[in-house]
Amino acid sequence: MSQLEVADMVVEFAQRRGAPLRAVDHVSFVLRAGQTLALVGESGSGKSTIVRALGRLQETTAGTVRLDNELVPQKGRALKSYRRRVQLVFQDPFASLNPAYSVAHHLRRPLLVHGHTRARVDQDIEALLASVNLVPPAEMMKRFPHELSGGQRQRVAIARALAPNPDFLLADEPVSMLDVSIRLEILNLLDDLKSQRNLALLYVTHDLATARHFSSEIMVMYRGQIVERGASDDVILHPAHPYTRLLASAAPHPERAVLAAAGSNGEGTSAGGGTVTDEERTRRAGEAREAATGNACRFIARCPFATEQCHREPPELEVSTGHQARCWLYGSANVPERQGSGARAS
Amino acid sequence: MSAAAGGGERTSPARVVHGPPVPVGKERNQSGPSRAGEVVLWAEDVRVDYMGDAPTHAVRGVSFTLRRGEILGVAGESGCGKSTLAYAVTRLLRPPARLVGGTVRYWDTPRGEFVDIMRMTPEQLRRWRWEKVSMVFQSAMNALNPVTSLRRQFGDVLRAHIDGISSDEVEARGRRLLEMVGIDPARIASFPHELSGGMRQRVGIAMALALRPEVVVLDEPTTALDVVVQREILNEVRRLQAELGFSVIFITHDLSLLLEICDRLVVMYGGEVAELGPAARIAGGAAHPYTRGLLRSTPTLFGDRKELAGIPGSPPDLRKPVKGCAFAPRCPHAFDLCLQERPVLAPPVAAGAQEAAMAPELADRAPIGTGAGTAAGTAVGPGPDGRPGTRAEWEAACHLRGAVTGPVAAPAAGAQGGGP
Repeated sequence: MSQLEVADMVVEFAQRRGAPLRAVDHVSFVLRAGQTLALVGESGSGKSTIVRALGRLQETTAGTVRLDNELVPQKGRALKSYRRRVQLVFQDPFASLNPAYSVAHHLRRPLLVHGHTRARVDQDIEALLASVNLVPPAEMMKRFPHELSGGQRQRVAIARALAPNPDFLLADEPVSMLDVSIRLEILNLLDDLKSQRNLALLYVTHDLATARHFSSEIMVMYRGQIVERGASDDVILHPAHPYTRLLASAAPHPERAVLAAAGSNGEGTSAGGGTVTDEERTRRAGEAREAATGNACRFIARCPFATEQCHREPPELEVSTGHQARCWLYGSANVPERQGSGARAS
Repeated sequence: MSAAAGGGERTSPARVVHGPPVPVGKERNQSGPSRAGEVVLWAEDVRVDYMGDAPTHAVRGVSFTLRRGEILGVAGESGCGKSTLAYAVTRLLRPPARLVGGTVRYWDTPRGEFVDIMRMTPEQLRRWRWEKVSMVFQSAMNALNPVTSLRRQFGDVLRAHIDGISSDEVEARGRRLLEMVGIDPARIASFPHELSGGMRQRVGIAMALALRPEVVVLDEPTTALDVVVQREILNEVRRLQAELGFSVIFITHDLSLLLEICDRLVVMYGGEVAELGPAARIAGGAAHPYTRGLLRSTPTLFGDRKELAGIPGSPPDLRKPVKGCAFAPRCPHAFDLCLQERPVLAPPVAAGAQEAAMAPELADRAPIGTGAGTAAGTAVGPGPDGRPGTRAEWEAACHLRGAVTGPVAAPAAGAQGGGP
């Protein structure tokens, strides 16, 4: 079974002044065939940098990527077979397709590059279009990007990624540019393709709800680090890291309105009430744009539970089986300190 | 409660129109929460075209009212006309967009009557904008001037509307406004690029509130922000709204967000109102199949995992005339009538009548309008209280008349058989 293993990936960007900006800080994870791993976090947390580094569009500063236990080089001809197996779907289907070329052109090139014969290529294009439900394929392949809706364009982008018959698909916010009513169709399509082709899918998003619904595992990223990871239901229903709890409480809750309509006050899922001061503190601190200094926890300035020991770098600690958080709260001696967490975590 | 106000205005249109659905007090010079519930903005049968070889009928007969102190959400996908509608009711449309029909009236408190905004003189309009109605745009970066400090931008607004305001006063008010939206007043010397996305949007809100308007239109104010910042902005809007008592028109494609923060909701599809009603009731069980589809398209964070489906198909081409219901080609419940006749807004029937609604004789029972009137139903028949012309609190433009209501969480799987 194929797997893609990322170990201690570090990506730094040089800055005109001062130390380089560390966008990805010692990140490790494994993508396995037939599974979807979701990577969530706010803008600027490093999600897209990981995708770009994994797609070898961005050089890593340190760390290794192994494909089926073989080290993947940073660049060079040897990457061709890697690229065949690892493909990307980008966020903006309006920018990722060339407006001057037809749909067929977009699909023909990867097919030819990866060894399909010219004689059969049109048939293969039609098969690809059919596999992403762009029908009738013979008609669709003649179209140009401006003749397609956003959802159709994203289907073309997915078909293009599937052209070399990859084992890994890295989808960087594949639906955030699309309309709500279209999003689920694209996500369902990705999910079906994953099952049919036994793909390993990395789903990068800032939307916790779809992350939970379409992935088996979730990693939460904050300022370049994975702060929490685990089975998706564990992470969303029982968020451990204060940042994940903040994310979960900030997401829209139509259920609250439903509960309100039903006469209940929805307290169980609400982050309101007693935690207003926490939120207030988090907000003010967030605006101060704290610079992460030294080894301190990156979330320290916004964290309502911060203590002295948070100035030391927090390790990844086990919250429950297979569920880890990079937070001192989960050191065995510290569990009692989680005061007030009940209201936010549930 | 009587719909007595606005008398002067009501006689002016050529055809007889019913009064605003919600009573408007006659009292003058009264403000604040005591008058909550009055109509401040009354749009009726608004139609907007984008001119061209084939005009796009972007807004096709939309009516709604905005009440004092409420948050009215406008939801729909891109191209449904929600932003165009917002520009129409604030008279911000620019060519090629043109208001081709309908009226928009604003309740002028000092005068105690409705004023037709299309008949305002340029000077009246200049005063009306920002002093009475202001707007917050999606992209705060583009809404703020990148080459001047916040101080000067506050100054621009204040000087344009307050004659002879001193520099000290500008400074003091600018600082107060920043403080009001939770930004350090010292930031008044900052340039927009020195602020984070969330802070810029706060500044946008502060600017919109600079002259204490009665209506604030928020056009996708949080779409470019991530969830945590979005939540902060929403809380800020709600807090300020409770404090200052202005009314909000909140436009976004994110229905789940609207359900949570709005008092009432307008769901638009293909330039028309598909459904209009209290957010809490729509959350409990939307009446229009499109609203239900939208709700099913957004997975809930904490609910059970379930099979999720989007809405197959794509929105109608608004350059062509739309026959029947605009949503019919995508609707799982569509039947013959839906393709022929445009449904008018009408109160949904109770969920209990579901079986009856699925029966074939539905076609005889369902339509209460002929479709000849406007889609938004100025010609709607008697409301639940029997008074002619009174609009119901909750209405949907669907021949099924909401007969598929019920918990949204369970997709109406069996309902598929409802259509022939």
